[in-house]
Amino acid sequence: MKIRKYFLMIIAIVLLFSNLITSKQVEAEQLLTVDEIMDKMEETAPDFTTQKTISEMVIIDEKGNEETRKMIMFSQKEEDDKTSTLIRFLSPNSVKGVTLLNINNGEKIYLYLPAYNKPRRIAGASKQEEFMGTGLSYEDMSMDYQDKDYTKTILEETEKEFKIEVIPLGEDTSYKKIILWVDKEKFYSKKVEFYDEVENLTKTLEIQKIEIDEKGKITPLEIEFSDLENKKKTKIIIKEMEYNIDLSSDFFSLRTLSKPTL
Amino acid sequence: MKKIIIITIILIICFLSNSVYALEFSGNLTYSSSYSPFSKDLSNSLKLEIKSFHSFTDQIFLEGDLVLRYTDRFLDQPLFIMPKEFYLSTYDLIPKVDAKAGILIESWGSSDMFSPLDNFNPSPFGISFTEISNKLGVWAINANYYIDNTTYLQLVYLPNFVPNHLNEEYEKQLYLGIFAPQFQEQGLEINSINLTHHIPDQPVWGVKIGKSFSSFDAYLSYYRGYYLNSYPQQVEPIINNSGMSLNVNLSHPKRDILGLEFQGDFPGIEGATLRGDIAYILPEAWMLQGKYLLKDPYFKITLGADYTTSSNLYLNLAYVYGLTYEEGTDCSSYLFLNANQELDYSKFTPQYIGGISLQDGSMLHSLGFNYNFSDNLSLSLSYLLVIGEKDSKFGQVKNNEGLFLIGEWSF
Repeated sequence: MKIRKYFLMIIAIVLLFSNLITSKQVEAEQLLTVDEIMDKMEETAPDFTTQKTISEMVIIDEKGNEETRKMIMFSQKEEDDKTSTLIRFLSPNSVKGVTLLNINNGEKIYLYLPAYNKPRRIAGASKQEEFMGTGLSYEDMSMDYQDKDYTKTILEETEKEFKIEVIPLGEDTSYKKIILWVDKEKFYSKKVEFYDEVENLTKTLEIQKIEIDEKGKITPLEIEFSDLENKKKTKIIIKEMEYNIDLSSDFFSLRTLSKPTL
Repeated sequence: MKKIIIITIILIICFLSNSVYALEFSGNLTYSSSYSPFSKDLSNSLKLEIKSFHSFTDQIFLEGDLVLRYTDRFLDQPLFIMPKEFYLSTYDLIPKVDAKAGILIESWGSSDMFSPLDNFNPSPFGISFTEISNKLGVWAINANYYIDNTTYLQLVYLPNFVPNHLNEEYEKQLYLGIFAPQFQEQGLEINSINLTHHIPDQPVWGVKIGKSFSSFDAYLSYYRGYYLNSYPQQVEPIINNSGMSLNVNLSHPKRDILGLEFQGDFPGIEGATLRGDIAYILPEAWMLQGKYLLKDPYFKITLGADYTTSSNLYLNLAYVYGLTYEEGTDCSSYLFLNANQELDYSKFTPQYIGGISLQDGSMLHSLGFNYNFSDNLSLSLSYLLVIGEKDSKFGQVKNNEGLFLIGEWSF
């Protein structure tokens, strides 16, 4: 089940790429409302339909011990803004070849374990399901705060950042509030803080390194999740990323799961 | 057997030859040990599994999996060298068709344990409570035709039937134990046994159609083959120099299996997955000494559900009607539970596997833990406890009770 959580974490990263990042250089001298800031983040998100990423996930425990996993991930934006992903571990050898297929934001999830030699369907992830014990739900990780299920307020505006408070309105959320630190120049969430029911800060997410291409598009190169309660960190390091690659129409299907190379 | 030896030699040459530097290798080294406190037997096994992979093009691949094992386990073959898998695979070389040919392991069935639909590959000697995949590869062709992204048709063809591997000495003791008392009642003292195996030379095949629906996947299948375990066909006492002996002819009854398998959302429990295999088995009528051992069609069923709680407790509960070694009227009901708990602050994972026969109440419990030193090195320790009378469902495997230690290094 640990493997599944790693996969879910990576899926979350895919979603983060879509929503946390913006590339449009926006002059911020003018006063912006919170909705305008969120709209700019949405509008300036990388424009891609397919994506290929090779990354490393480094899991760091409270003693500083590290475990590293390398993986390849493909994603594709489907109709209705849903995303399909296919993720395969490349190393270490103990998990090499283990593959997860996630179709349309978890409408169908399959796990392929080479030792079992057959795909296992997994019940659709609940939006509130946790990723890797971080307490972050699928919904939280999607960072899709555009809709009316959240109230958003600018708490503070510094020279470089907007500090935005997001309060979920639904009863079935794990968090009392979420704080976004949005870069005023590049319009991406540099840091996200998650507060529990009694408003204790429990988790943080930081984009520590980014890359801006010639079109001004931003690719996050290093992302760090911190579980403050368990004193555990998970770092995602992007090694390679390609946008708008050609994928066959049946790529995100059962057929691809057991193929030796992707 | 000759083919297996040839393939093994080819694989070993490949592994040792510099000319195959293009092959990618990986593998694992597994040490396993078991100790029975009752028989005071300690056994050790060392298994090296080397996997190789070569990509000719984006569509054609060569994959191999060679197993070398040494064991000092009682009645087992000490040295075992065999290609577990060795096959050529093609993907979309023929539009919409993926195919494999060579020594293959086929896995039919959606359930996690004791699938009654998984009948292509034989098992090695011995019951394993510790290995995930405990099957031997067979020469086969597997072709999948993808009708669309959610529907496919699969054909599996084995040119020759390959039965389960049994140690001959064990088999002799088994049949001597069954038949000697019968003849003793007739006043005949049997002191030895000769076994003759007749292995069907007909092919084995199966077809399956699978469809993925929004909340579950379903598959219909048809298998035509033979029972992997042998059945006595003829038993004849003879007089020889050392006294009375028994000649037993063994063979494998034919069987047709209609299968339904499914996996998907568990109705009413979000996050739980339901998996099930239902087999309707039509056996060849098999008679011995005027009594039918197999005659009427029967069902074997495995229904399971797995779920991970918010505290990372993994639970897998299954109902089984008919274990691997039960057929026909011998089939009975069991419940199994597999549970493990991931701990946030530890590399320890406590594990439990338990089963109960609903027919006679006999039970097995395996309690232990897994410890991951690193991603590539792990150790597991467990104790298997069997509760039940000697002739009860689980009591029959009481000699497997004991302490199990497994260390695995992946490279």
